Amino acid sequence: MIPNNSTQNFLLEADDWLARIEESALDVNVERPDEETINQLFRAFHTIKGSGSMFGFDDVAAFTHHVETALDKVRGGTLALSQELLDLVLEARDQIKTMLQASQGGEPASAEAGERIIAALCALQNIDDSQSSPQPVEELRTNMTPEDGVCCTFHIHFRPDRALLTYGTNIGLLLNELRAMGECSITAHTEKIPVLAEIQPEQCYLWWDIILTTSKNENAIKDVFIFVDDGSEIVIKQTGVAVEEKPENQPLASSPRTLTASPAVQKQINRIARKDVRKASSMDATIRVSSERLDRLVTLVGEMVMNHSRLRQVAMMTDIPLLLGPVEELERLVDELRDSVLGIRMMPIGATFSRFKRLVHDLSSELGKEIDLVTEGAETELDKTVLDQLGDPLVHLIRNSLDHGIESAEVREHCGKPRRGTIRLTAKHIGSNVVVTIHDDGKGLHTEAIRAKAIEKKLVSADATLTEKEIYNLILLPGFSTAEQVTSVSGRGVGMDVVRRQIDSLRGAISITSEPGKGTAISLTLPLTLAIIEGLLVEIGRDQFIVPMANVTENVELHRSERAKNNGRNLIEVRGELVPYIRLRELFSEADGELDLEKIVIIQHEDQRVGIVVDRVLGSHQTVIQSLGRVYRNIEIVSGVTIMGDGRVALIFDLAGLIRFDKQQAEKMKQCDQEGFIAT
Amino acid sequence: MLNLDITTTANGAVLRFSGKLEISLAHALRDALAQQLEGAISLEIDLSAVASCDATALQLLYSARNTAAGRRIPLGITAISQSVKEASVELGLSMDDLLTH
Repeated sequence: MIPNNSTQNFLLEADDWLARIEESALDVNVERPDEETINQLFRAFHTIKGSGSMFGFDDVAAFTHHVETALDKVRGGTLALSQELLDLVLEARDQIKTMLQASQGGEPASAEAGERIIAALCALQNIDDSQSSPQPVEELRTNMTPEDGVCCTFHIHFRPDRALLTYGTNIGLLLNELRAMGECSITAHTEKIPVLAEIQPEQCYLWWDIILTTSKNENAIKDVFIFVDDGSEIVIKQTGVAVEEKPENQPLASSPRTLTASPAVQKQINRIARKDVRKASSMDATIRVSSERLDRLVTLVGEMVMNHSRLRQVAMMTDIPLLLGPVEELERLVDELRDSVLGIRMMPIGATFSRFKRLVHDLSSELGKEIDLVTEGAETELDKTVLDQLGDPLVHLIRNSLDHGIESAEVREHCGKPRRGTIRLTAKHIGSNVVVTIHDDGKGLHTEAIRAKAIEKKLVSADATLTEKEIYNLILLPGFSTAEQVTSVSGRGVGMDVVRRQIDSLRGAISITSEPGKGTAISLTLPLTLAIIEGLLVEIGRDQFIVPMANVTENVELHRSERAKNNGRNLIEVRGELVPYIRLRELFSEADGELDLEKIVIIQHEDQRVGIVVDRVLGSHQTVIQSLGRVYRNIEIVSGVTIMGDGRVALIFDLAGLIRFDKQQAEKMKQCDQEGFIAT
Repeated sequence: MLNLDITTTANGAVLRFSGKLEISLAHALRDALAQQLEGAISLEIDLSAVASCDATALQLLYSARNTAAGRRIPLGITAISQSVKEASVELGLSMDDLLTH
């Protein structure tokens, strides 16, 4: 099926509903189920069924009907919520997702899997499969039976979203559904309809007040509005309750009524009836924009920032006062525009976290472990590009915690720990970075085992003196794995180095801490955005470079005399601490003009401070990051380039790569020295 | 396409709509009504041949009435088809204040 706009919208919305289903099914407490969560689950399946049917996904609607029926029984108290049912809900959710993907050219959904889920749902409800044949949405809605002979009167205020008619919604049918529920008095308000010169003819200016006396409860009324509640104002208030005295089996709508007030029933109903008013606030109104459009916008803003930089340079060179004022004003506007556009791309990390609830649920069952996932800081925002690339590394780290970190329930009990292990996934802002931490309360890292494996794999020499932190970092090297058994979850010896590469490519850093028997924490420090960063512009010889400002802690001076102090070792004392430094002149074999006074830019990378020696520090620079392209992809020390105001190109340092490269060079030099020494 | 016959009389114009009056024609209907109200002495609207009608069309009739009232132009709906009647009843609208009795 080639999706048209409406179908595309349905598919996008169905995706949202499926995500909500997964979240609700994983959140609900089986022993003490929350009524609202069950209602949310029901509504989600109900919406997918109704919309699916509307857009021609009849197979999806038919399948969804079975889950909806089971959940409706849970809502009505005739079916108990069980873990088995929740597992089936999750399986049904996956089946619907596959069915929807299949309609868009994906792998076909397994009919057997669908039938098995339906059979299991029927078995839970003690009904025969054949009795659970799907019904059309309209039929399901109008076949509602009176509940306990109790009638309530509701005042319904319905002010539709202005754009509702453009979605193809027939408000008349919706009002007919209310009429079918009982005695209904509908008043349409026309006073907001503007004159012809002002009217937007496709928008809805009508609104309604409805008095409905029905044996249905508030949830049933809300279900009528289920497809129109986004952006609409819907207020449902129970205004009275009465007991209907009517002959058996007489249709509700046509029955003559004698309604008598019943304080006892009213008290009971009032207690049960939810008091909350459902009001879709216009504040929540959102629009969907494709990420390609946003990317284009960011690119344009990037170009604007670069051009403004050129303009400012020209203004300063020409020194025309009439030009300087507007250029300064433009700078303010460009900065504001940049922040706004980058702000649009910021998304809460919560959606990424939600994926892992399911991962932990499924994998802990597969491994026979009992593990909870606790998330904190779901509201923390990161650039969409960073978030998109963060998913896979996090999956791997969580899989590792599940497989290697957390012990089986029996082993945990034996060690005096709670049977259930916990993985804590947290996110928080620290300065201009976001730190995402995966912490498990498992057995921790075994330093001796890591060291032995690293020696065996010839990753370090047997006599190497390593700190605890350096040993932990060995697990990030390519091909390293201490898993005794290769499982389907992890332990293939690939992955942690890929995680490191991925985090490096995001200009992030990984830090590992661990305590034997207590657990392991892996922290990922990530930049907020990848598009435009604040950089420190430095110069070496005649070339300019950018150091990401987020890593810069301070600048100090380095005299030629100081360089000789530490017997040629690249170390400088900064506030009582010896800080190693990298001389970029040496690294780049820049021979021209040795300077008496150089600058050291002190940066913080992971847990260490490192100095980068440059000729001159020119100042801060709004850096629009451009990629290097395929040919230069393997240049480890550079993560991108930026175009300067005068049209020159400045390379942006990849600090992790730079430090790694310097260490490798030092190792090579050491090796050459030793070989030279042996040769002589 | 909007199906509209316009008859001009000494007392004003009579607009006779037929076929569908639905959201896809909402802009055309708005423009037609606005155009006919420009400098009109009075306007009569005949909806007896309308095959189907939706909320957007009914809103535009109310909008035309409001516009005419603001300009002191007499405007009335002389006849409506069964489908127009059903659509207005379904939406809880009373056409009485639009109809010329």
